[in-house]
Amino acid sequence: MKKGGIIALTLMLVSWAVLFIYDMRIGEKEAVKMPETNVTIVEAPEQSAPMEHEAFLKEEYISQVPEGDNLALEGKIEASGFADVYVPKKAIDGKTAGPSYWEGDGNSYPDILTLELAQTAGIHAVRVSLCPQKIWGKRTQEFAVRISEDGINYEELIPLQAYDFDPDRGNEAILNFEETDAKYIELEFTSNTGGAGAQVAEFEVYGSY
Amino acid sequence: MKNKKRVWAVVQIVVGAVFVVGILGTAADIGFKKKESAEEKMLKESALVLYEGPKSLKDASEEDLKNTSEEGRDMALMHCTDTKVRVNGYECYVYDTNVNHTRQWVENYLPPLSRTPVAYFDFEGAAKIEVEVPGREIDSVKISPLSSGIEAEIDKEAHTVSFLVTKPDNYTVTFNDAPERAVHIFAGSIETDKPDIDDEKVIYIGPGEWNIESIVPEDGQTIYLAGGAVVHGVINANYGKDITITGRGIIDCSNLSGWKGKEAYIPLKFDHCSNIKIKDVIVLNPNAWVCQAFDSRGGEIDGVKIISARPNGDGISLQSCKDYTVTNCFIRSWDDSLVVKNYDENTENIRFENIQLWTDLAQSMEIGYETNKGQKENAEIRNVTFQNITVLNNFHKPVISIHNADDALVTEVLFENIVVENAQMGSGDGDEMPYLIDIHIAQNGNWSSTRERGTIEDVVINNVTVLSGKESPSRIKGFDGEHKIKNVQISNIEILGKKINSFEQGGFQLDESTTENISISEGE
Repeated sequence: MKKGGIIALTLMLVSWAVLFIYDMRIGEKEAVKMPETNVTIVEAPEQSAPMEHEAFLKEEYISQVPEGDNLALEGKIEASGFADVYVPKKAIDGKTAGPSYWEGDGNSYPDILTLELAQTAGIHAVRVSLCPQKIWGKRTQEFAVRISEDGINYEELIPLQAYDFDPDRGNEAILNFEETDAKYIELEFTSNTGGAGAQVAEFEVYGSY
Repeated sequence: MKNKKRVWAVVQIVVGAVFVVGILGTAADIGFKKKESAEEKMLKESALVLYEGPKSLKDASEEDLKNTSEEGRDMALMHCTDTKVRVNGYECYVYDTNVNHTRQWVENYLPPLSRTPVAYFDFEGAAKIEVEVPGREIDSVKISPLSSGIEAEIDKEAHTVSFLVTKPDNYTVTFNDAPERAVHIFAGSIETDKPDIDDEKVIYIGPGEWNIESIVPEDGQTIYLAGGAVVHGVINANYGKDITITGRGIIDCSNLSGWKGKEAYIPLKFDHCSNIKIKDVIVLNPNAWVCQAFDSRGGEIDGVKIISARPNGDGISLQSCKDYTVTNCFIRSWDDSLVVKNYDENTENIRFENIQLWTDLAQSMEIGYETNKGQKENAEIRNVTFQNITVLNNFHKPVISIHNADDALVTEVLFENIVVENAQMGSGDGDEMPYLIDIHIAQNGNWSSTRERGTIEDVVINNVTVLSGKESPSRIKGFDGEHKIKNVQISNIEILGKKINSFEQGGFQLDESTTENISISEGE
């Protein structure tokens, strides 16, 4: 018994010693770090403020607003229809930002916007604009301009034509023409590549009473 | 002699015991070191890509971390200073973004906001992640998704937790069972499909902080946000087609005031579009909701990461869309995380799959309330699938919901393999709808657009597990005898370890007068 115990203890001691030496040889635990060759660090440029990106820089654009007064601001307006909250009167409120625009009822062309001036005036230009913010994106709208003295009998002033609206170019279409008398001015839209209906943030008519 | 023998025996036992303990201890130490060596070997065979953050971002101060409304705080995306993340021994840039722990709607659109750390990197093989929070005592840590089975080691003295990941995924580190300052780590796979930046159809936005008011991609264009890029701006297209938004970069809208019900600038907005791909980008600090597709057809949203804090901060909102898939995303939102609605045309063929959600307010997976806002004839929402969805936290309203507040037919809806890690429905003013599952036909003053009510048919809810949190009830309630909920099969529901085999056991409020053919089973 006595001998057996000593042998067992000795074996245990030897085992422990062997394990201990092996443990020491493995060394101390160190934080695991990956070899540098396996790491790619994408560096940030030196900067102290946000940069502007050349692909999105806007050239300065100055709108050639027609001469004279915008008589539409004192007029009355109605439309063949409208979508959601985009009612016709938003097209003559003097605002182009955000939700201040008229949109024709979706997919129901022609969309017609009819402006009645306070009285018959000599008019020489029409400006149709959208919100100039880039978020609006480019689009093309086709429309014709018709005029009337009595609101019943209309004559064509400018035939149906496509106009590009580009936020980098003021998001506007300016139509100049020989001065003519009119009390009612109508835009008849047949397409819009940027909406289900025609869109007009401001319908401006320039001339004088 | 007898005493001597006894003493000798006791000595032998004691010494033997010491030897056994010593041998076991040394063997364990060797095993631990061997494990480290295996890790080391694994790391030698791994690859890692780290992205420096913009040098212009401000260091977040203690003041910046205070809980205040956007009027009382600097909303900017910042460089996090109280949390450090190391990956395989290398420092990983940590952003500090806004989040919202308020559990109720705030009428003036100015709820108190908080901040939380976000980090991202790409890897192949293995990544040993260490998260150090010097100012915080760590009593416990949870790594989500829990299905990954990751158990982190805590070094209390070093205020550090560490864990090994071998699968690219989105990981969230939650300390001491509290959502505050949880660390979101987006561990992606190494990019293999970078677009050719010399291609004239590709717009490349490199690392660094950029002010770009709005990006309006043209047809066929790819907008590539490189890792390390932070873009203050939005990407919107109207009637666009064949557009791709991709890259590891961040779209951050902290420069915009909250929309307060007036001007929403949606970071990813694609209306009347077709064939749109949005891949991998991260979106932080939107001024309203985040990713919208309206009247669009054919879309893929994959690997997108979203964190919103301000009111109406819905994650992904698909409105009147057809043939859309949303996969492998992470969404933490202060309003519905995933939403399907009809604002105009009918919705059809929508699939959400392999997605992690953290819903601070409202619902996690919502169909409705608006099911026919466009007041079309024969309005429908058909074939919508939510599959393999892990909800890390759901704090407010239902996890799974169909709310039909118009006259549409909502049909062929599948919710399958849904895991809720922490169910806290009913917090704050969510107590009016504290449900796990809510299927309801309603007339709602805020959301209904039609006079008539609709119906809900053919809904399957299979394999829903709630791991922790509240034992929440569920509701199935139609409108009246004409506008019913029909053919709903519910199976394999497990709530807090309890298998649910009856409506009573699952706490279901089942309105028999407005429902038909509703079943629940324990499944196979």
